[in-house]
Amino acid sequence: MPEHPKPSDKKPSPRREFLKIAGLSAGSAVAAGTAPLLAEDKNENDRLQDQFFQISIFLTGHHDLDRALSSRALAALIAVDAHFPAKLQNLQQALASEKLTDSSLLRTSPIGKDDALMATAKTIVSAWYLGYAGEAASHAMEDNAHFITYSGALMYRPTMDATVIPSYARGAPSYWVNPPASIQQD
Amino acid sequence: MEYDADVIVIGSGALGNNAAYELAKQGKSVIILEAGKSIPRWKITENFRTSPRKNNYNDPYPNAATAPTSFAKDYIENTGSFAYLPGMLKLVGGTTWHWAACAWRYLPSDMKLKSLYGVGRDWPISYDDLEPYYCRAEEALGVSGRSDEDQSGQGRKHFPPRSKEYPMPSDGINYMTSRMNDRLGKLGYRFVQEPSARPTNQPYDGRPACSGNNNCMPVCPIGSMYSGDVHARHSVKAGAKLLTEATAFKLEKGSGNKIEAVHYRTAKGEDKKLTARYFIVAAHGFETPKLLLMSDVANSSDQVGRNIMDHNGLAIQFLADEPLWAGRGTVEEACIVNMRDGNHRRRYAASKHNIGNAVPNMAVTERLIAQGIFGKELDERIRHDAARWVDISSMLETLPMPSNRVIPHPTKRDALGLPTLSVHYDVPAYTEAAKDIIMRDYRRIAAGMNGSIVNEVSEWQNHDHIMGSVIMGKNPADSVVNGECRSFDHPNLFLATTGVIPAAGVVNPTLTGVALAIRTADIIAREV
Repeated sequence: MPEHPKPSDKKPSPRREFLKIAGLSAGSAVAAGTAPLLAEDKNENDRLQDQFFQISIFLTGHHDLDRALSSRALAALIAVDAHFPAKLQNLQQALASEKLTDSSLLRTSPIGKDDALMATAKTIVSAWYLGYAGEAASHAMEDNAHFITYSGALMYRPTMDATVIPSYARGAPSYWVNPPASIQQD
Repeated sequence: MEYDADVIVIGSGALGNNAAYELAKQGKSVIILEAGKSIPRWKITENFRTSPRKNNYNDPYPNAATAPTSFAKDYIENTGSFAYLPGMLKLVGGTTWHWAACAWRYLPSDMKLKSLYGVGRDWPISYDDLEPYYCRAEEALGVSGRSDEDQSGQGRKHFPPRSKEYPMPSDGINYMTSRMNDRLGKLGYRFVQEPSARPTNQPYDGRPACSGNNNCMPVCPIGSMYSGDVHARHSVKAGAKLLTEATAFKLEKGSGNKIEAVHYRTAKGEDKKLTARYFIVAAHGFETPKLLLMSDVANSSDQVGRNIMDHNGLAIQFLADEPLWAGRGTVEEACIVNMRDGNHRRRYAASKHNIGNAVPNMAVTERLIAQGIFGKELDERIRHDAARWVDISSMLETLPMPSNRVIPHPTKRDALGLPTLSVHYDVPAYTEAAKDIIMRDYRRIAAGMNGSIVNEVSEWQNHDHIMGSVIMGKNPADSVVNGECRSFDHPNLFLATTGVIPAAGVVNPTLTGVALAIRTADIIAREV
């Protein structure tokens, strides 16, 4: 479960407000080398990273998520939507008050009736499962899609014994004449 | 007069390169002009793996401002009721980098559509004329297939006739197809194995056997699937000169109605001119008519750029009641072909159902997340649904209509200052008339697998099979080229593009285009 937000987290700092106006996260500003990071901002960035990581573990149900991938996913989600940190905060508060034990229960909980909260949850789960954030264009070269991971996308894990991650290979030519070994249980 | 080459080939796709190779092999001096660059397969594969847009088949490929793909912003403007937007690439090897290697022959009846069914147009040549060249094209591309099936779907013995076996036998039938055939075969559905330009169970022409990477589109990472870069290499090895980042923009007329020179622009904007005895324009089904219209050549019929066709598509996705496990093998393994031919073609379009065999996890997962399914339940449902996912897409026959047209854009220019494309396309009534029949057939197929329908796609889809744009025929008044693919207006100008095809059938036209290109090369070699 994500932790309860600390009271101090609700107090906005002037720098965070600046970053919000500029459409940047503390992380992206650092990455771009545009400004030195103040100690307070570093704490805020760490807190945001932790918050996202914990919520990601809860929503996906996967306890072995990669921390570096989490940072990539967060950066991608912020690049797509500068308001994502605020939406994440709202979701965290709602999750904290519902005290759900499993994310499978989310859609039948009161959160499931809140379109905005569910949209945030779906956005996070999509980033981890599909490996990208934003809307990917199929017949154009311009869109807001951001790459996160390919072979690490969680959508491939449940079928790894039966099908390949496209572009990778397994087995000898014509192995596909037979069904996967699991066919009786599938 | 001194010439720069015996033959200049404009475009280094599968068709142009096969013609170039045949000519170079016979000792002719050949120059190939290519608008794009050459990049290695591993880079394209890496571009694919690190792209957020896995369903965008142009995305892993170069898209330079000086050699834009069809998906570049504003490159193709559509003015008709259907947005005709094929996935065209510009690089050495051309757009067969991302075809799925379906290497079909047309049927004899496809070439006599008007005579047999009273609609559309006949080809000026017969199946028998083309048959030896189909054999050579199958050898060039390394096609594996089954010679024992009736590919026309009429329940006969093997058809169409062939004078040689496929270069390689087909690989085994995948489990999904076997199961669907077991159940739907009882309802009368006729399955055939997709003839495929990829080695099976053995290497061929330096290419490894397919090992089921399931990524034929947008790129085969191991170079098993045929793509036009193979014959770019063969051509160069046989002595052809390949110039990249060289965009042809004008064919110059000389004496005796002959084409005398081609003018091209480099990526730096420099203009250059080359002369040759013969010219082959093999610059894609849209770009070929564009170049002819920009040059004001070959158009005494006023048919250049008109009559464009595609195989307009419909689709259905459903979940079968048993695990089938799409995704094992190539992305295209089998088709249902009952409606590929028959008397119904007098009234409505022929069609073919492709049983999709791409790993379906992306579509499956997007759908489940949209329903708010998370956590352990999501993982369980991904496995359950991916195992049962059936994705059928159909290709429908279209007819040539002069109003369906591609032209150089009247005002828009690319970074080289050359016109972009303007396309007008309306789906023909003949094709529209088949829609309800196909959608009903989908429900029957889904019911045959006791399936629950996920999505019925009744909006027309692109299938990127450009035909008709420089139409072939017997009559110079209504056709751009004759049965040799030679311009009626210029005796030394030939077109190597699926744009010459005058009756579309329902199969991927690339193999036919290569067969015609090899035939063209033979004709030129005798004259030059």
